[in-house]
Amino acid sequence: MSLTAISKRKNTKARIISGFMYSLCVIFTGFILSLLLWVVGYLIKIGWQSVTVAFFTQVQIPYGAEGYPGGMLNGLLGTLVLVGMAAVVGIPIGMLAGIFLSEYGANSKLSSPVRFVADVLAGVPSIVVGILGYELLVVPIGNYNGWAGALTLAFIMVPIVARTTEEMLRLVPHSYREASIALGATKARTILRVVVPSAAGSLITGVMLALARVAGETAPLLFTALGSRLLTVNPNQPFPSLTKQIYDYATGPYEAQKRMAWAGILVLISLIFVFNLSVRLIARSKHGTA
Amino acid sequence: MGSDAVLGFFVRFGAVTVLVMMASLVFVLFRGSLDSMKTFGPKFLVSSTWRPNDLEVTKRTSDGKIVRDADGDPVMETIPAKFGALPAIYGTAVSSIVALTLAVPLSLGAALFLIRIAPRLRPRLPNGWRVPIDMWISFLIEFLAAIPSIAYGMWGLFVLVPYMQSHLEPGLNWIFGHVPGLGFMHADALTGRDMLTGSLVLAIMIVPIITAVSRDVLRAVPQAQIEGSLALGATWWQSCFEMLRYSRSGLFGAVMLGLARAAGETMAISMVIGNIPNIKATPFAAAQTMSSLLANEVSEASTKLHTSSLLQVALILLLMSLAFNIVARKLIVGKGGGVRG
Amino acid sequence: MMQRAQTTLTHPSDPPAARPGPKPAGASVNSNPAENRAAASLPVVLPGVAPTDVHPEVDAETHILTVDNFKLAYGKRQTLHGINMKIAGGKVTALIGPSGCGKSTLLRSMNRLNDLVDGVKIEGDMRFKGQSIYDRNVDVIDLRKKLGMVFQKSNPFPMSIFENVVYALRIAGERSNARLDEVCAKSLKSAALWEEVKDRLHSSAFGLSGGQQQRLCIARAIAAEPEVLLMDEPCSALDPIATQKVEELIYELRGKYTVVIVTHNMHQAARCSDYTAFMYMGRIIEYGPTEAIFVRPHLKETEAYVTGRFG
Repeated sequence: MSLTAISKRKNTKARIISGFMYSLCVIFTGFILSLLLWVVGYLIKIGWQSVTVAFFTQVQIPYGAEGYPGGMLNGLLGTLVLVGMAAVVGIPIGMLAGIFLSEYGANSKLSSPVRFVADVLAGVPSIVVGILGYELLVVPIGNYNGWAGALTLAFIMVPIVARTTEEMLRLVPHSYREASIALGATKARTILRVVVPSAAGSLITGVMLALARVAGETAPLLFTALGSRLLTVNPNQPFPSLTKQIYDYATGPYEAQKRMAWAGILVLISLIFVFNLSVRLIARSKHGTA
Repeated sequence: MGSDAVLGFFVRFGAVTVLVMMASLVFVLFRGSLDSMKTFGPKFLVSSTWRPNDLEVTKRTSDGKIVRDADGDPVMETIPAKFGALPAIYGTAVSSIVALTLAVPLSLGAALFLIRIAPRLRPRLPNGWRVPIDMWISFLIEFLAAIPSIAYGMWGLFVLVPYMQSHLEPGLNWIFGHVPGLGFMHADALTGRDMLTGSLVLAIMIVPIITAVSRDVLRAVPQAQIEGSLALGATWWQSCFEMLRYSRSGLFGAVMLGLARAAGETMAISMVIGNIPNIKATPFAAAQTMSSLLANEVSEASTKLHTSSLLQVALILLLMSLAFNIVARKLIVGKGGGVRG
Repeated sequence: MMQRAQTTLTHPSDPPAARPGPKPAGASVNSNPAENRAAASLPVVLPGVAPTDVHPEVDAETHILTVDNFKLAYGKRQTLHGINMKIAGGKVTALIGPSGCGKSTLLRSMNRLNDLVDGVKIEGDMRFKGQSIYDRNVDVIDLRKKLGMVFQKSNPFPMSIFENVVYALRIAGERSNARLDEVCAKSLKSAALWEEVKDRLHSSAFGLSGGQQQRLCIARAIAAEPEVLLMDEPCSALDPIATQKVEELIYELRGKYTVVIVTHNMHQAARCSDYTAFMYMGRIIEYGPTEAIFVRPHLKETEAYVTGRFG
């Protein structure tokens, strides 16, 4: 047994390395945050300088015509309609699959492959999904159209909605189900009247996140909806969207259109921010009461 | 038929639809690539020629002389269109790997910061409230992970590209030109829209994702493991290293998710990488990734073979991302343990 | 097992393992605690008002670790109220008391593991061989090497048995394989695990049984050559046979190491410790030779606890 007492703080090699790595973690975090804040700050600043009333009220006006550059009303409306159509198809399918995974999954051989495939599908590059839409809905029809765009977005939504629905329903205490069954309710009634309503808040936020995600998608629309400079809601024709219009403006030659693109980015980012923040707040209030 | 049976039918329909979606994705891309597979075979993967149109050239003899007809005019011959995906595969691989190399150390550092440093750095306000810095940073990181890629693309195109062209790249290029052994990376002209800029934009985009997932993985390390090493006299870093070792497979999963995202990323990279099917040693040459190739050419493909070749590229991209995602899920879920209630 | 005779139990009634009982919280507030203690009605405890009852045998020992008016609070919750304690070198000292009495907190304060917890406030000090533990200049890492720790739940690292045992040497930069082998064998023998694992030193530590894992953790702590071993309920997650082996091991370690053990199980305290401190609500109520505490406690509260009448 050594009789030395505790030594004073000293700098051995291990301690110097530890201090170095500690500072490195702090520096890396600071670097990442400043880089990302630079990016987002720049986008917000330029977007704010570029956004006009016309952005929200006018459609695209070509270079040389009176009123150029107009606004992005056609793109905004187009994205709204596309995402709405995608939601009508994608949310029910996704939620049904999610309910299956959570409520029926325990004694079904189907559940683990479905869960796995949903996870993997959520990670498929969206441009690949766009190509599927092109092959199935554009080539046979013969022209670019809104249906193809909307269904491609629906395809992207399904796995996201399915997995969030499953996770949210799993958070519903098992006692709710037992109580309902014990009162003589059928399984369907229990699910539709007890389980789903008690998770309604978190289901809505999950769906909102999925909507925000597809609203920001560009790649899958490049060769499905294609984009249009008209204010149209006819899904048989090429269909406008905010993101595609931003892309065209950003890569095009005209300065005024580039400013419109920056304003469009600001609108997109604000949308994402509001959705993310509300999800956080709802999640926290759940935590608080649970 | 009772309501139970109806709901049971519908939810099974939803579940089967998910499987059908996956199957149709693979089937449609595979069927569409058959033409290209038959024409080029495995050479598609190793050829670097991407020529969508037939080419008329003068016919030459084997010793290089131009063949002429009776009037002395050169005889023309048609070389058919040819497609090889190597430059796109190379571009995807290199840009993703460079992006990961830059992003992974940064992300792991930030994840360790969020778990091991930030929770203890909660400054107290005069009224006694504590500022939860770690939660704010976490929220910011998650928000940044949700920003659409077109936003990063625009920033890349209008801010990063000019900056690279006029500031960073001339300096690097000078170094490559003057340091012996690095000459192969020297470039004659700098455009800013090249492999290096593309990789940087990808790195910026995947940092939030890798950080968020690794933070969750590290949070799952039992406190007992950390205390166990500290109680044996480990330094701060040695105990962090123990955490990293404990959760290594989950962290590898986080990296794979980042890789899948980087490889499939389309808009941002196609705006800054230059889109030329090059395989060059210099990082300052324009390049192409599989996704940027698809974004640029699918809507302009005029021949069946061209479309089929693009579909084969999409199939390769799909299979690659499936592989990355499968590995990632297995590792993250496998480690998570009691995920199931 | 025969050596156990020294702490033969001659209690009026065998103390069962701690069981939930009526909590004396809100017990009547009395201005005269001594009188209150004399009263027969149990359980009545007014900790902190009276000083700790320390038996004279404790003071007669050579002390390696002393606790001087040590106070600790998690946020606003005061967990330890001015603890004073002297721990005998080379002996086994047990800390007993009902759940939440602060015994684990006190133990974890001895190697400053509570420094890790967010929002902890500490007053007072502890001294190891006369030297302050909480001094700003103290090297915490060195301190923790001298005061090894074994946790409630065994926490082997995800590595081989060998690497687990030599972990402390590895992080201290030891390179010599001969030295690592030697320490590994010695520590595993000290932890009575050598015979069971000598043929599979390089297989994963997770392949061991619960009791073996806990003895591995003890071997890992011993390999760092500590002077004090802090054990936080080392047997609470083990089955009776594994518990017996660990208790035998603790008995063997006496003399070579100073052991401080927190336990819920009064049989265990009685079987393997030399001194016992009874803690309640963040204070040490009575501290003395184990036999005295279990057989002839000075205070009614101690008697009530060790005979299982409350706690």
